[in-house]
Formats: sequence, C-alpha cells, structure tokens
Amino acid sequence: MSLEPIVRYSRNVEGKITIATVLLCVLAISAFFLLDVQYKSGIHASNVATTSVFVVNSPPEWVIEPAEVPASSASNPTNEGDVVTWTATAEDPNGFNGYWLLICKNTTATETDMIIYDPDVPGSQPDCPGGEANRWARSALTDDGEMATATYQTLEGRDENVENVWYAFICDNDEYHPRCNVEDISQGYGDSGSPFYVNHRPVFTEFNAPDPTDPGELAQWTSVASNTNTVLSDQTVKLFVCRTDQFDEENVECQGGDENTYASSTYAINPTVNYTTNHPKPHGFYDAYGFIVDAYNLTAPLPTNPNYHGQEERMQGTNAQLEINNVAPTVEVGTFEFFDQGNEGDLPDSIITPTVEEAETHGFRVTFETSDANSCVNIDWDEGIGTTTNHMEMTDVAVNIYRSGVGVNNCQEDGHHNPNNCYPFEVATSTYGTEEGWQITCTVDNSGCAGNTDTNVKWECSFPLWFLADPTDGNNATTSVYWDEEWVASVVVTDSGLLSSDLTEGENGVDVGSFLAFRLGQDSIAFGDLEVGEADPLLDKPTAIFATGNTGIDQELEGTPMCPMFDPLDSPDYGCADYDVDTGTPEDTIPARFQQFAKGLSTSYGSGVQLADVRAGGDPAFLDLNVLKTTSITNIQNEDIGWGIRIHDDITRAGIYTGQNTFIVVASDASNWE
Amino acid sequence: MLVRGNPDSDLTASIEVNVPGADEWITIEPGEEVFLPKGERQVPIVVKILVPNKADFGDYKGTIRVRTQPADGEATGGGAVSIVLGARINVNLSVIDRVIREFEISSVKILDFNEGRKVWWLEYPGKMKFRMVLRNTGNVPVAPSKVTVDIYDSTGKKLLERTEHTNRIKKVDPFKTEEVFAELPSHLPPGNYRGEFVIYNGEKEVRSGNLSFNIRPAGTVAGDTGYGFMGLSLWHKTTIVGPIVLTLLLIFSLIFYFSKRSRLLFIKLIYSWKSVYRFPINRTKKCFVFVLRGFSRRKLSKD
Repeated sequence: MSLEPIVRYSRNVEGKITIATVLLCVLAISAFFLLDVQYKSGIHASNVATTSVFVVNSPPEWVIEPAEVPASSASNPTNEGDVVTWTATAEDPNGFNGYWLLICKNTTATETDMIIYDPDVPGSQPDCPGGEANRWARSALTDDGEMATATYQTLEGRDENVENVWYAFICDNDEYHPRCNVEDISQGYGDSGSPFYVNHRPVFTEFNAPDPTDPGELAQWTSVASNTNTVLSDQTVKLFVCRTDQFDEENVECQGGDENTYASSTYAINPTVNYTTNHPKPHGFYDAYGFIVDAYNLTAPLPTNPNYHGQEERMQGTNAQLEINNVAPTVEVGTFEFFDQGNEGDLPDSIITPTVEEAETHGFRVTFETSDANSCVNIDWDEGIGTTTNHMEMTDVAVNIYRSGVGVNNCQEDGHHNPNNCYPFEVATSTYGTEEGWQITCTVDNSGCAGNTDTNVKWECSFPLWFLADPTDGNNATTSVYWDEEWVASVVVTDSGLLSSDLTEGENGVDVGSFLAFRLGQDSIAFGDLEVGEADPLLDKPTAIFATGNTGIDQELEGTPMCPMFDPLDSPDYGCADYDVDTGTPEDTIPARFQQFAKGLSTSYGSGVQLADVRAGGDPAFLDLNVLKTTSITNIQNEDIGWGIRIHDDITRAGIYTGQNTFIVVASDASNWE
Repeated sequence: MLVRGNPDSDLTASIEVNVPGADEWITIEPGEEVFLPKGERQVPIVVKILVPNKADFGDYKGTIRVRTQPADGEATGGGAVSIVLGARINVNLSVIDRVIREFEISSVKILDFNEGRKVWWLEYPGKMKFRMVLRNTGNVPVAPSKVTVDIYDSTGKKLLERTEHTNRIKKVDPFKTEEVFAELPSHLPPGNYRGEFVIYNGEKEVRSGNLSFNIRPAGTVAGDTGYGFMGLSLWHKTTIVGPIVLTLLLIFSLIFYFSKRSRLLFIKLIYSWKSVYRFPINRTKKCFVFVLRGFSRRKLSKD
C-alpha cells in the first residue's frame, strides 16, 4: 500500500484542516478521562446503607462415584483378611473445603443422623450414622477434586458375612457448617458397587489315603472339601497332594514346586487326586500332605488357625501316606550265562566239563539278572549314602542246576537231588562233599544298581558238578544219551520284604561235556610162573576198569613184547630181540600176540582177543567192554578184563620177562551206558 | 584237557592223529609230545583243524590217540606187565559244499545309555547298545541280519517306541563265540523301560524276549557319544544337505553365468549333441522327400 496519496492530501489546505480537527478531538477525549471529570447532578445524598447475605455451605458433590478397587463381587470376592478398597472423587461447590469419603453399613436421609465434622474439636472427623460400629471405612481428608481412598481390613474367620452392603457418603470440613451429601449417597455400580463379598476359607473335613498301590499303578487320594460360601459363584476347590507339609500360598503350589508335588486335582467339590506311582519305587510308606485351595486362591484353614475352631476344619496339611506295595521280584530269563572253570572273562562258554575224577569239579559259574518293580534298593537307600548290601531290595536267590529234560518242577527240593542230573538249592549243605551234599554260593553284584530308578541286579553263583553229571554234548545219540538237551538253571529270588518270585528257568543253557576218564584196579599184570610151552588155561589175570568220568567206556589195548632186558624207552624194540611181529618167536622174547584178554575172568586161553603189538604200528585191539556210565558216587561202575599168556616153545632163557601194556580208554556208544 | 587223578610222577603224553585223508589238516598244540609234570592234574592241549581250500567234499573219520609213558621209563616190579594209560578221541569231520549261515545267541543285554540331545532344530537320538553273545554254528562268518526292539514303559504295558538297528553288526567267524553289538536309536527321555527284542538271521527269527534297561540323563554314561549325523531322521538330514546342495548349485550357476568360456563350452556341447540327434532326422526327411518326389513322378507319367 502506498502512502503517497495521503502525503499529497496532507499538503493541501483541506488536508491540513482535517488533520488539525482530528488532533483536537483526541486531545479533548484524553483530557476527560485523565482528569476524571465528573458530571455532578444537581441532587446530592447525604447517608450510606450497608447490605449483607450469608451463603450456606453446600455438601460436596460426586465427581467420580465410589467404586471398589478392585471390584469385590460374587465371582471375584475379597478373601478374608484382605483389604477392601474404595476410591471416589468429589468436589465442594463452595470451592474451598476438603472432604472425607465415608463407607457406611447403613444409610440415612437426614444429616442429623450423620456425625458431622466439628471444627472446634481437634481431629474431628465425620462418621456414619451410629458411628464407628456402622462404618466400613473412612478416607483421610482429601482435597477438593482429588481422589479419596478408603480401606477396610476384612476379618479372618467365618464371623463376617459373605455379602456386605455399603453406602458411600462424602462430607466436607466447612468451618461454619460442615455438610454430608445425605441426599446423594452412592452405592457404586456393577461389580465394583455394593455389596462387597468376603470369601471365607473352604471347608476341608476329610483326606483319605489311597489303597496300597503297586509301583506304576494309579493311586487316588479322596477328600471332602468345598467352598461353603454359597453366595459366591464358585464353590469348587482344588486338592494338592504334597510330599512335604509346607504349602506356598503365594504361588498356590506345594512348597518346592513340582518336585514336591505328587499331583493336584481339578477344581471340584470333594476333589480327588490321581497319581501314577513311579516305576520302579521302593515299597513302604511315603508322606503325602493334603492342601485345599478354593477357586479364589484361599487355602483351607490350618489346624492351628485360631479363627477356625471346629474339629472338621483340621484337615489342611494332614498326612495321608501313600503305601507302595511290596511286589515280588522276577527273574530276567534272557540274561543267564554259564562259565566254565577257569573262565574269569566276560564271554560265557557254550560247554562246561567236569575234570576231576570221582569227585566234584569246582569253579563253574552262572550269572543272571533279577528285577524288582520296587527297584534294586529298599526304602532306606539314599542317594548320598550310595548302594550297599544293606540297601539291596533283592536279598537272596535259590538256584537249581539241572539237565533240561528233568524239568523245572522236578529239581527244586532236597529229595530231587541226583548228581547225574539235578542239583537243587535245597540240598543240605551240611552234607557237603558227600553224595547228599552240594553247595552253590551266590553273591549279588550291586555295582550295576544306581539307585531307586533301577530295577535290576546281577547275581553270580559258583557251583560244582560231580564227575558223573550227564553229558549233553555231541550231535547224535551215539555220542551222549542226552545230546539234544542242555543244562539250565532255575531261580527263586527273594526280596527284603520276604516276597519271592516264581521258580523261573533261564532261557540260556549250557552243554556239559563228556568227561572220558577211567581208573585201573591194578597197576600191573602178573602172569605168575609158567614153563615153556605152557599157557594160562583161563584168561583170569584181572585188570579192573573203573568208569570214573561221565561216560560208559570201552577199551583198546596194545602192548610191547616181554623180555628179560625190557626197556620201555628203547623204542621200537624195547630192549627185546628183533623179530617178525606176526610170526617171529625169538628165544628170549615173548611177542605181544601171545597175550590174550577178554571181558570177565572165565574165558579160556585161545578164545580171547590177541593183544596188538605196538611194534606193528596198527590200531590197538578193541575190546567191547561196555563199562556202564557210573551213576552213583559211591558205586563206581567197573568191569574186569581177564588176561592170560602162553610161553611159546622157542623160549630158551629162563628168567623174569617184563613188558608194558597200554590201556586206551574209549567212550562207548551211548546206547550202552545204561 | 588231559587230566589225571593222581599226578604223582612226571609223564610224557604222545599224541597220534589217525584221520585218513585229513591227517595233515590237524595240528596239536603244544605238539605231539606233551609233558605232564608231577603235581599237575590238568594239562590243556589244543587241536586245530585247518581244512585246505581244495579239500574234497566228504566225511573224514578217524581217531586221535593219547598214550602216556613215565618220563623216566620206570616200570613196575619185575615179572609183571606194567600198565600205562591212554585215551582215544574219535574224529568225525564233514567237508560240505553248502554254506551254513547259522548262529546261536547265548545271552543278551541292553546296556544303559544316554538320552538323545537336541541341537537347534536337529534331534539326535540316544544310541541303544544291544549286546549279544553270538556263537557261530555255521561254516561262514555270520552276524544277525536285523535286530528290532519294541520299547515299553517300565511296567511293560504301554508301547512307546519301535526301533531297529542301524549299524553293521560285526561278523563272527565259524566256531567262534564273540560279543557283538547292535546300535538302535531312541528318542525317549531318561527312565526305566522294558524292551521286547527280536534277533533275525535272514528272515528267520533266532531269538526273542524282553529285557529291562535304563536310559540315563545326558552325560551320565561315560563313553557314550550318541548318534551323529547318521542318526538323524531323513527329514532332518534333508534340512542340512538340501541347503548345501542348493548353495553349491547356485555357486556353479553363477560361475557359469559369468564365465564366457564356460558358456562357449556349453554351447559347443549342445551343438555337438544337436548334430548327433539331427543327423538321423535330416536323413529321414530327405528320404521322405525323395519318396514323395518319386511317387509324384510316377503319377505324372501315368497321367
């Protein structure tokens, strides 16, 4: 915008006159105001009248109506002992006063019933109609427009009602005329409004232990318990079964958490707890403490709670022990292993063989495992102590060793004992070393038992067998009578509670090998005095053959020539004259073929078997002697071989002729053993 | 084992092998003369039989005789025939032209093992070690063809897992007894279990039964390293191998793309193949055209 036109206007006369007029007006007006020029009328008052009015105090008014914080309702009550809190905001229309929030048990429409604030009484505060007895709560003096808070500590015990009506007042502290808003009391709205609800502790009158339970089976605790506050929306309760007598009320769980909790129920009236017991688990009694909590996380009263006096209230934290049954142990049939004498290693043998004639051979071993659902340790075991013999659950075994064809039921009693085929545990050990005696010693190897989570232990048993134990080796009936059987073990295991397993036969057996052994009744054959050309009429020079192993036996026989200069080490002539084995008759040597032998002592010379000559290099002469297998320790089977000799006619030298015969034992056909 | 009831003097045992046709296959250890010292009741000998590769098939029967002799040659009183003892062992060998693949299991055990572990998304199972004492009753090295275990809870009532061996089980030579192991994966947590096992020889079930065993928390069983990559499931293996393969393919593709020489080589390769398959096509075309022309010429001439 340009000022040039104004400047041009002000340069002319008209402009100047206008400007001057304006300036004069401004000055006049300014003077009027500055100097306060007053127009005075012609009428003047000669007196002043003072007026006054007393504005009455009004009671405060709600800005935010009272509410329970948090809301205390039938579905979310306040647990006894907890605090009910109300908040509200009010303002005083007079603008200068503070106020109290009063929560009363009853109401009134008249202020006169209220206990009003008295400004002349130090510490005066308003109160409900009837005073403190009818008051739930009262806030502190709160500034106008600020939020007031009033609290009430609910009572423990059942004396207090579950459902409690309240009325809220606000009263100011006016110094002249304090007021309360009796005409505008409030009970709040909805769940946060009146009434408030107090939840009392649930009733817990029975806590029942489960029936004795096997490991791995279901145990059930039952209870009689409920929340009897029927006004509330939920009367159900939850049962916790804890391993200790401590309950964490803050976290609503057994003290120590899951580790100390058997189980808990769902919410129900008269809840039950189902718990699958551990497997394995040592038998015995285990503490189990019951705790009831209602749906509002309030526990049943402890027996020591002074606010609950009824006897029926005493079940919280009581002990209804869990009893784990003692279960009979079992034998692990697939774990049997047999070891031959001298085998100290880990690999079992498939055949064990007696090696001591006419006596027991010691040092055979059988190992096996047994199992117990109560674990390999008893209830006294503790992880800190470790596993010792005193803590073993399976304490004893009875082991029978027998040939499989005998059958498990026929080798378990003393009367079944037969050294040929059955060695029962019950054979009296006092007769050890005799035919009636047998001793098996067993020890438990607890190194494999780590504790109450293991079920198995290993046993090692050492036992002897008599020399005549039936052999089961070979692959046909010629080799041994029982070639298609084996020797097995059966076991009864007993635990610390004196329960025993069934008599159980192991799946794995072992062969007993053939023990080919014999003994001669004589260590030489004395033919006596004979003249040249003379022969023994009968083959009656005896050599008794005793079967001292576990087979029947036959004999092979061969011999050296006899001569005065006999030398057993001087092979091949043995110090005797060289001659044709089949036809030679040297004058100072009696060839072997002039000896004969036969079974028994009544065969005539000439009807026996010619002795084979070792110098011939062929097979020895065979005698089908058929000594039976010895079946009695005190009666060794034997047969006689009768011998005779003829002094051939070409002998010229008189004197003592000696020689050497070899008795070679042969296992006879098994069909001839009995 | 040479045994004697009264070892009251030194003896010498001579061992004679007489198995016609197979004498040379049989050796005696420590030798054909064995000293039996005074006081020793038992002296072991070992009879070894080594059948030659080209041995004739058939049965070989004979004997092994043991004869003893006093070491000092001392004989009994004069005028009597002294007696020395011996024993005869029958030998019966069969050399056959048939493979016999047979074995017996004399004992079984499932050893304690550590639970499996999880590394990121990969679940490595625990490695069950199934111990067997195997006796080879055949004439060729043999091992179980399959071992399966159904794992139940400790009460034996609830089936939890089925598993089969994953390793190559060591073969045992004929006539030997050895301890062998089958390894089976398991994803079960620590605890006590029962396993129902079956051991197979081919399709034939050799042995079955059930055993109790424990799975221990990780790291409890010393020396048990568990399964590695091969123990993972097929899917988990794929999640490892797949990205590696794809990455390699991508790398090679990029190399090829940016390498002119590679492209030229590729093109040459395509064209070289092209010539191979185009030749018969071209020839066929030419023949067809020739025939058509010939046909049309004939038609024209007729017309």
